[in-house]
Amino acid sequence: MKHKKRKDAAKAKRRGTLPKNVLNLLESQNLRTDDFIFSAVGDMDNDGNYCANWLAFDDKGLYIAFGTEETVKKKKRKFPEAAVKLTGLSALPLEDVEELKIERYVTTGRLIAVEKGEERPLTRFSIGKTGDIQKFADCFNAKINGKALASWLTVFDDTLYCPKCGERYPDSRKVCPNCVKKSSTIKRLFGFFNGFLPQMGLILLLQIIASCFGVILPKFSTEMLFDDVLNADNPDSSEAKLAALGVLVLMLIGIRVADLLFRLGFEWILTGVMPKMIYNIKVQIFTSMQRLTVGFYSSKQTGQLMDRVTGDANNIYWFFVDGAPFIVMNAVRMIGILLLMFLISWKLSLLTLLLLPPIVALAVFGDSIFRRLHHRIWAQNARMTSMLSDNINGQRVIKAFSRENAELERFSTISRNVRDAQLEQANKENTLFPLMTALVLILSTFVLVVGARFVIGGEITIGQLLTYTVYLTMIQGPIEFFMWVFNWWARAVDSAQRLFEIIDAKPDITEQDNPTILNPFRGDIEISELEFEYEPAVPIIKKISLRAEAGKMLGIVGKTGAGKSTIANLISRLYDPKAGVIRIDGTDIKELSFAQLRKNIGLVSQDIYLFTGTIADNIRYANIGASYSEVIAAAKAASAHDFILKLPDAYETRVGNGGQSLSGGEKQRISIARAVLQNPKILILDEATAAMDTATERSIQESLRQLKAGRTTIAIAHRLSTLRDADYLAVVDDGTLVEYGTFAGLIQQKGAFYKQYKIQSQSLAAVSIIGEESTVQADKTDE
Amino acid sequence: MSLTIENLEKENTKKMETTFTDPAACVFFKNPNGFLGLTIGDAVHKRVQLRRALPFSAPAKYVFVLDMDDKELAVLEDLAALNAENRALVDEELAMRYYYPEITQIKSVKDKNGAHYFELMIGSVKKNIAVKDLSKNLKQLENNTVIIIDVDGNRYFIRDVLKVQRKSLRALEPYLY
Repeated sequence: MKHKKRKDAAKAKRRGTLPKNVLNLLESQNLRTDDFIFSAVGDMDNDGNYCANWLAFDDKGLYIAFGTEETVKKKKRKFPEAAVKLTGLSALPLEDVEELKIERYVTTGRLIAVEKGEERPLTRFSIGKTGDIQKFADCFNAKINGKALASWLTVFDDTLYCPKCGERYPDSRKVCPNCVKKSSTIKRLFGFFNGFLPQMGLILLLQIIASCFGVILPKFSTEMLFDDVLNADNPDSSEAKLAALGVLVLMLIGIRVADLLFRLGFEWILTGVMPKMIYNIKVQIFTSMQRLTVGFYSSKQTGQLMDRVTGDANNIYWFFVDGAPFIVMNAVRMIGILLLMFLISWKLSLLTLLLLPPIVALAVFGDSIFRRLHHRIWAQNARMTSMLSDNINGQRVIKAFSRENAELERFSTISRNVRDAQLEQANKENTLFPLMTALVLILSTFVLVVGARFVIGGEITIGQLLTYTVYLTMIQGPIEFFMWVFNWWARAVDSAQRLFEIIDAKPDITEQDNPTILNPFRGDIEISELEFEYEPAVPIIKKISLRAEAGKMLGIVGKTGAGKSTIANLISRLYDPKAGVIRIDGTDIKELSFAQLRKNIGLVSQDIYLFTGTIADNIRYANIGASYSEVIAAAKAASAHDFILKLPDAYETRVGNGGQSLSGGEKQRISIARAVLQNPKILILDEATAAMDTATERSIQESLRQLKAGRTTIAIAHRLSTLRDADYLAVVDDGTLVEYGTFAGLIQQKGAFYKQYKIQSQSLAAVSIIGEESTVQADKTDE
Repeated sequence: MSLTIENLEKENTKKMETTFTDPAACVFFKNPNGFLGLTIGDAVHKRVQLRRALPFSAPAKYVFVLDMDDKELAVLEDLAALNAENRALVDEELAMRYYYPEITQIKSVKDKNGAHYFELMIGSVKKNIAVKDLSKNLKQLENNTVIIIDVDGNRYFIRDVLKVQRKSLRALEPYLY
């Protein structure tokens, strides 16, 4: 009882990843591991050699232990256990350490302690450990500063490793390839057949009947022909033989036709079922893709996942169309043929089975060689394709630097490689294939010779021997089918696994169960102590607090990469912050309903996407029900109306993929019109006018000023003239808020904003001076 | 310096020029906590960082010395020009920052449901890594260098893939791209 209590207390406290055997080891060093506040596992020593490294801290000190870890396989246990040894342990008194810092290098990171203003290296780790170690450092710093641990720190993500086998999950979707039940994937895969069960049952039935016909056919065509009709020993008259022949021919035709009809029947049903099933799969994938967040799409691994969706869907498609339906048919054929072969002569059949292994061995050997060669050709071809697309996309640059010959050289090198790989395959094919054919020929001749002896000995008839040889050829079909269907099967299951991952993926931003609906939605934004990072240990937003009152305009200024757009993304809740809160009308946006939040926030961002369709469709995207007069009014407000009218098809001009190409500024104006028509309470303009000339920008600002009434506007820009109308300005640099105030106030303050303002107005002035001079010069040359 | 266009332009021109530092003017040292420091002229920098401009093709040339706020302090055109003492300190620091785990042997590659599990030797240390989506995370560069990026974002290198043992190459070849 006491033991259990202690265990529970320890469990509650030891938030971290130290395994039990390590904790025991540390206990033996007189450390009270029950008191550990946080712990982490590193993988290097201070000199960058791989070793086991454990970090922990409690109320008294910071402990860094180094050691060795060896996996020991125990007989009765399925998964190996690690034997740990300690090689070094250092303890720093807590009061000496002011801060823990992390530095990132090329492939490693370093944990550094600040002691009395001096930096001291503690340990190093692989770059992949940065996230874990950063959490450790954050937690430690919170403790030192007497702060409560941030909410996200209290739940430590120890689920990066599969609880069953201890292997690292290959990605964030937490599916362990070792432990995932293949059967469950297969079950789900076949689950797509649900709804088509009667058809599938019928298909199977027809296939089995068709296969039976196919298998029986040689029995008539060969055995009866030779033994009954053509047999010289048959005492029947030649008329009777001819009559028998007639019956035989009729039977043959009958079987053939029946076989054909059944085949046609199941293929006809199959082609009706398959497209519907594939449609169901695609709809399911697309639905789940829409559910996922922006983070999912921009994260590296999942981006690739998307690229593969098409390939994976195809793999499954072909397996279902060409593979799966024929498994039963081929199985029936194979069993039927074997059965008949044994019926003809079990001795001959046993002999054949004995001769099979060398052929199979040769086939497997050949397969492995060809697969490697095949891959080599594929890889070289892929290189060539990527080089070609490089070349086509870069034509302007190639021409501009007249590098055609160099490109040609590059191309011939790569295509030489392709040629060599293909030659090698052809050579191997030319030696291996005849070899295999010869072997099969020799073996079947051997069977024939033995069979002939049986005929002479009277054990079987000549018709039976010939039928046997026909079956021998026929059985090759199912054998080959099963040889590659397993491969195909594995690939389809693999693809299905990935598709199910997308279908099962949990969006990292979720709506609360009972979301708050604000009534009315005023649009008062309050940002407090906001922190955000896309990658661990690379903070983008560092504790920013801001306020945008309802109906006012807030301008955010800063250099490129200062974190301005990130703030916009966070307000729209495309990402969730690491720490801090964003409140709208006093409510945390995490508690708001998605529908209300997105409906009331209009985001005009730097990268504009126009969907395939007309300009009117694109403007109406956020408000499908808008009338044409509303669309035109919105376009006018966005200064887009004039240029749209100039286009031959005006508002019905097709844009997007393959449509009319528009300039950056024109696209921006359409996307502003889109936001205007949405009529949101909060309008975020993220460099929305950056690609426009100053005059157009002015006219948009004029219309936006009219639209601003009753709307909170957040304008992000590096061009300061854009922000002249802002009620408040926030200057952001390197993720922190540098200055905050009104335009006039900031100018008076003579700080960073003043500096930037002066540079911009001066360069504008300089440009106009240069402009005047050049006109003067031009005048002179005219004279 | 007042904020005028002329001054800004001057600053920019200065930024664009790269003047190599006289190697004799640089004295590197190790501060008590083991970090690299630099004395250049009268200025003593308690901690500096080194950056290679060409980490692959010319690791010992064009080394930039920056202070902790990323301000350029010195540019070393060729490390060979440093005296032995300085060279040793610089090499040590560079080895630390530009540490590349180099794969010496590939024991096995297993494909399980789309993730590939590599059993590697890095020097004498055995390492098991998981790699997702090989087409992006296993790259063969023009000069036969192979880079493998595992699911944690760790990078591993094979300096010259044609020079690894035949057995390792055979294990890797089906996945090379």
